[in-house]
Amino acid sequence: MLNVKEYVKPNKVEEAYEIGQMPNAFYVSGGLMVAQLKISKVEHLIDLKSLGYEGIEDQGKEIKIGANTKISALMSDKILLLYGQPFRDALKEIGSMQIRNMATVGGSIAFKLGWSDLTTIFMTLNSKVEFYDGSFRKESLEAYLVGNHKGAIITSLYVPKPSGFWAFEKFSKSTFDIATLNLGIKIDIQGKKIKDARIVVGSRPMISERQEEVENFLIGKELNQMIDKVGDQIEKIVKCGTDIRASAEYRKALSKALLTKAMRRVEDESRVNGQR
Amino acid sequence: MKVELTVNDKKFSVEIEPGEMLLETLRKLGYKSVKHACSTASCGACTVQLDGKAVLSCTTFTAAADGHEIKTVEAFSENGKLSPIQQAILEEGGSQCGFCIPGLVVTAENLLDENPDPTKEEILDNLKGNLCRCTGYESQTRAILKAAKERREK
Repeated sequence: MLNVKEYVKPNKVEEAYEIGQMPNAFYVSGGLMVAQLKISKVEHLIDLKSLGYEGIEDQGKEIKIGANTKISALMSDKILLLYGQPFRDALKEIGSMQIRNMATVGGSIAFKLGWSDLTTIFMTLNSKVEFYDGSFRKESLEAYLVGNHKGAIITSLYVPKPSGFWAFEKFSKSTFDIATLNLGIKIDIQGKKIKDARIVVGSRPMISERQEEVENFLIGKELNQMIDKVGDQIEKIVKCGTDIRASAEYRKALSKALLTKAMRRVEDESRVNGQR
Repeated sequence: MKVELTVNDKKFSVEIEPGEMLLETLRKLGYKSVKHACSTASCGACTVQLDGKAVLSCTTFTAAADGHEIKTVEAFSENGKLSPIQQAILEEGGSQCGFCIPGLVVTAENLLDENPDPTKEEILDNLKGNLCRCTGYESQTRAILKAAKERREK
C-alpha cells in the first residue's frame, strides 16, 4: 500500500492545480499508473474525476475528448466511429478489458510514457492537448510531449475530423504485454499521389516521435509504388533504444515491417473507399 | 478517512487509509473471492465490477470507489443458484485449480452485458487480462459461448 497522507477530490481545476504544486503530490485519473508507483514519497493524491472533463463532443471541425474519458468509452462512442474500424481495432489492442475500463485519455498522455499506444494513435491523428497550468493552454500533442509541463493538468484532447486514410500497428511479445514498438500512419491522397503524410513511432522505447524525413520522402509519390521502398527509409532514420524488451537494431527492423504493413492497410482501404 | 461503499447491494461505511486499494478493503470486509495475486494489473484475479464495469481492484484506490457500486463474483448467483456463466464453467470443466475463476466470471459477465452474442475470438480478446495457467482457455471459451446462448434464450 502506498503510504499516503491524504486523498482529495477537488471540484475546481484551479484548486487541484494548487494542491498539485505541493511536494510529493500526484494526480489520479484512472489511477492505474499512480497505484503502481514504487516510491515511498507519495503524500497527496489528487483525484481529478470530480473536475468533470469526461465525455466526447462533436465540435464541427474537431472532436473534443475529456481527459477523464475511459479508453473503453472511446471504443463504444458513436462520434468516434468516424475514424472507422482501424480506430476501434487499435484501441482493442491496448491492455485488457479491465485496463481499458480504468485507464483514461489524460492519464495515458500525462505520464509521457514511451509505450503508450494511445499517444501514438492520437499523435498520428494530429491531436491537440488542452491543459491547465495556471491558465488554460492548448498545444499540439507532439509539442506537449517534449515540453516541460510539470504540475499541469490535462483537461481535454482535440482530434481533427478524419481525412485521408490511417492505420496503426504494434508488436508485442504477448497479447497483453506493452508494445515493443508501435507505429501509426496517416495519408492524404490527391489523384494517385500522396498529398500529406504523418508517421509516428512509439515505444522505441522512448516517447512517440514523428518521422518527418520519411513523411517528406512520401509526399508527391504514388502510394502503391512506395510500399516496398518506405520501409528501408524508416529503418535508416528512426531513433531507437535498447531495453529489456528488444535491442535498438531489432526495433529498427520492426519499424520497417510495421510501416510496410501499415502502408498495405492504407492502400487496401484507399482502394475500397476511394479518395478521401 | 471514511468511505461509503455498496458491495453486492449491501452498504458499508468503512474507515480506510488514503492509499488503500479496493482489493485490501474488500478482503477486510470478508470478500475473499477477490484474490490477492500480482498487484501489478497483470493477472485479473482481483477483478470486480465498479458501476457495472470490470476493473482491477489491486490498482483501484478505495477512495476513488467512494459512493460507487461494487460487485464481486458472489453478486451473480441468486439464492444459492449459480449464474449461467458459473454453471457453464462447471459443466465444461472450465475451473481446475479455481484461483482465477472469480475474476474471470466477473469479466465474462461484463462482456456478455455489452456483447450478448460474442464470437470465440471476441471472448479470447476479452479474457486476455485474466490469466489462467490450467485450462488454456478452451473450456472457458466454450462455457461463455454456452452461457451467452442461454442468456439470449431466456
